Amino acid sequence: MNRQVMGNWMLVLALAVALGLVMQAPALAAAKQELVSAKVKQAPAGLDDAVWKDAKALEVPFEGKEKFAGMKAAVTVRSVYSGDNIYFLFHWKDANKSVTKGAWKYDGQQWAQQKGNEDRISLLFEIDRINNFASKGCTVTCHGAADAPKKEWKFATASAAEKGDLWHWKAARSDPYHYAEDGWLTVAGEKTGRKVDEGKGGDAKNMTDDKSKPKFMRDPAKTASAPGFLLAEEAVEITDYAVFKAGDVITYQMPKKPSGSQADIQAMSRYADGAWTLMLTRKLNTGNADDVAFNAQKKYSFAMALFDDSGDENSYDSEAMTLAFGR
Amino acid sequence: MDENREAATGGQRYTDRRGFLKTVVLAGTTLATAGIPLAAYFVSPALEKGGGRWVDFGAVADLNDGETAMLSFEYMVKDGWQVLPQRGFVWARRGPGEAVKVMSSTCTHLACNVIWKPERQVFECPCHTGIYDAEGRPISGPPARPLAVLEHKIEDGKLQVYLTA
Amino acid sequence: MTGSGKPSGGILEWLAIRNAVEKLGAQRVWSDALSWTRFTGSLALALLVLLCLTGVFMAFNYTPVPGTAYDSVDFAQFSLPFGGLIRGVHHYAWNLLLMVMGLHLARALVVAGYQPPRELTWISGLLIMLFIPVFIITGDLLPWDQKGFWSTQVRTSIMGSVPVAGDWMVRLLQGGPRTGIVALTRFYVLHLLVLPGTLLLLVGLHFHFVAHRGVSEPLFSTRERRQVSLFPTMVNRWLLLLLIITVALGAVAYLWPVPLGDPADPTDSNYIPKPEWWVLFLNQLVAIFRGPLMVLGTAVIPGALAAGLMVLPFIDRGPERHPLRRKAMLTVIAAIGLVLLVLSIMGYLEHYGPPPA
Ligand code: HEM
Ligand code: FES
Repeated sequence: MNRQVMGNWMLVLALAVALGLVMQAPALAAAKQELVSAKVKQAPAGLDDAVWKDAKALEVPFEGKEKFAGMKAAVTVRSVYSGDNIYFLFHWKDANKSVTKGAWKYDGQQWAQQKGNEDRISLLFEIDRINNFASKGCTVTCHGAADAPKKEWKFATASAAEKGDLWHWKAARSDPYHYAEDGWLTVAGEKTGRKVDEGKGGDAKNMTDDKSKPKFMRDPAKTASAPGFLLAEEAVEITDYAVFKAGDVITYQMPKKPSGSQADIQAMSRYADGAWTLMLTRKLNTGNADDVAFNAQKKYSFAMALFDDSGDENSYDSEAMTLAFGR
Repeated sequence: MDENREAATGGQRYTDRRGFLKTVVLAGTTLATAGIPLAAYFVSPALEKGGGRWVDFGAVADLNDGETAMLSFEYMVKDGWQVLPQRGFVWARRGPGEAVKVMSSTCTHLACNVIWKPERQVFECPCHTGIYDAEGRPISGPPARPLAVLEHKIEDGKLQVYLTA
Repeated sequence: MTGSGKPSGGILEWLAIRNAVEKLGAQRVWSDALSWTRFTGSLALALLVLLCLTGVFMAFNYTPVPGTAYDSVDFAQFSLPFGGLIRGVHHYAWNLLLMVMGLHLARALVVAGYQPPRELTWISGLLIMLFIPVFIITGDLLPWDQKGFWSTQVRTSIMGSVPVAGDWMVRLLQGGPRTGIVALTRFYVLHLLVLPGTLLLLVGLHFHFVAHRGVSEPLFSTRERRQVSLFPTMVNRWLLLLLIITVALGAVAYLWPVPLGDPADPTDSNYIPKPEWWVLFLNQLVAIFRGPLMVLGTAVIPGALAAGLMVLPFIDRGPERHPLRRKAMLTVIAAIGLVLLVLSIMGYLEHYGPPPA
């Protein structure tokens, strides 16, 4: 090559690189919050793993609705990915650990279900694009006639072509088995558009047919794998109610062992010093049609909801956010 | 002849062997550099094979013994980048006894939908009057092959049929 | 193969293109038509080739339907092999093309390449240049993302502010009052069919004049000018340039993946698009003149600039070409260039700089 042509090479390369840099700098200044999942070599082994320091924390604001209307909450979220898996770490203040979920209590005479719900956190991603979810968040998944009471509104997508991936960690019903319920969202059926993934899981109600007392107790032959909770797989039917004494508590909704696509999201949690710390782990791509498959090249919209000892309508909701992957 | 050409080109050789070889090499390299990604991009959607799925048609008990029923289906299919409903129907016949036979409604002639005529106990194709018997065997008209029998199973009393595409 | 100095004669004969190749081989062009100081034209050509190639292939995985358009671009970019690279090369190629064409124009201004007998070369070049933004404006809407959708709103409202015809022009362009499926289909057909076709004609015209009016003589080189054959010598240089730019843009697209924003939400007026670098000066012009004067910024000044460039060859007729001996002309050009640069910098600071305290 002669000098002239060499010159061209250099100039073109310089221009091309300058171009890349110029284009990169301001890029799209995001009005939305962006959670960047950091690429790490060593997967985090737990809630206090040093690797979490590599992940930039995102302070996500939440607005309360219904019972919590006018109130605010905040969750600190971090994420890393490594090998085949993605990890999320959530930390939020909560004055009380709530895991009652209507557990039975014996007062020496009678059984009664205690007041008290459970703490939960949930995430919604898109499997197939949900119209305007990226800009409006979970509000687009709320459907009902304008004059219908709130109770009759349905949590669903607007059409069968839109599909959400719902991660739902429940302190009393999924956490004892160290997982978060894995569901998906589609058009409303009779009730909601919420479906659970392929496989088994969920919980079983512990109640006699006359609804007056629990039907099951811990099987004495099995070791309790989740202290404080009665797991469906460790329960036996109660034959003699005389063994109970005043103050005894028995789980009402017994967690069932998850399997198949319902067991995709593993959880590790701790309640201490007035706050929950929770780690969720999932394969980037589970290969299941009812899960969002993460591609590290791409950005994803997601939104979260927080339930503080409350039922479905009473929650704190985040706005839509972006999940991006570090390189 | 050659001399004339050379004169016309100002005394230069009209073909430049090295130059032409360079063209071939450069064009080939450019073609490969740009062409391989472009070709892969173009071809890869073609590698996806159409899948099948088990579709639930509800309780087998709903089928009357000895009757041929039209069972409609609708399921979502992702076609490239668009999720679309696939709608259609199959013919199912129960009996004698517990035996169930599920047949495709697609005529084996030119793919119209065949219709069951209970009075005459035949499937009739509206397009070119093909006629099949109750078992889906062609009796008259253009169709030469029987209606496709679809794979099915019964789970928890529910009829599941394997539908492709 | 007779071995008598026509090595490929056999194949060429067989392909029945021997005459054509020989004719091409007999074409002589100045060696400096593609050189260290004169490469922007050839580079622009290479970029156009790349834009067409990547564009045609992207079109295989694209549907011009609101919403679905986004899904198709998303699918192509992330689910197909090289999808990100191909979209990236298209994206960076048009950005680089704008820069390269700016240089191409600037060079012609400095060395007076527009002077007779090259008036028509200059005018056809300007037409190409004015054409490229239409490509960008139509292409920007195609991915149906927030940025493209809301940038289109800004552009149509600027267009709509033109007195008398503005509103009508917008409705004609969009095929109605809103940016929906009719508008997207129009933009699509313009971007993929009408504009490339017209561009091909204009480029052909430009080359026709370049071939017949020649390129201007180098001003600063004392070396003797050489002629080389169009084929294969000049074609080889072009091919090399194309190869280099393909690899370079591929590398840029790999290192800095082009983003795909959120899908367009026409009901989300919270989204404020940022003007891209090449329209910053126009944006500032539009921002400076308000109210009844707005038309100055949106139509009069840009129109006057374009018209001024068009008539330049009839004002500065030469033969003096050396920049130092065309001080008056160059001062005017430099002043205008400076104003545009300052406007761009102001726009940059306003839209990308730190928020005002
Ligand atoms: C002067 C030439 C061209 C320019 C300046 C241009 C510009 C653009 C722009 C600005 C976009 C928006 C996408 C982005 O940058 O992220 C775009 C998209 C697109 N262009 Fe072009 N283009 C040109 C030529 C072509 C040609 C010749 C074709 C095909 C015949 C084509 C097909 C497409 C397609 C299918 C898209 C949508 C896909 C996407 O946005 O990723 N383009 N173009
Ligand atoms: S398609 Fe049925 S008979 Fe022709």
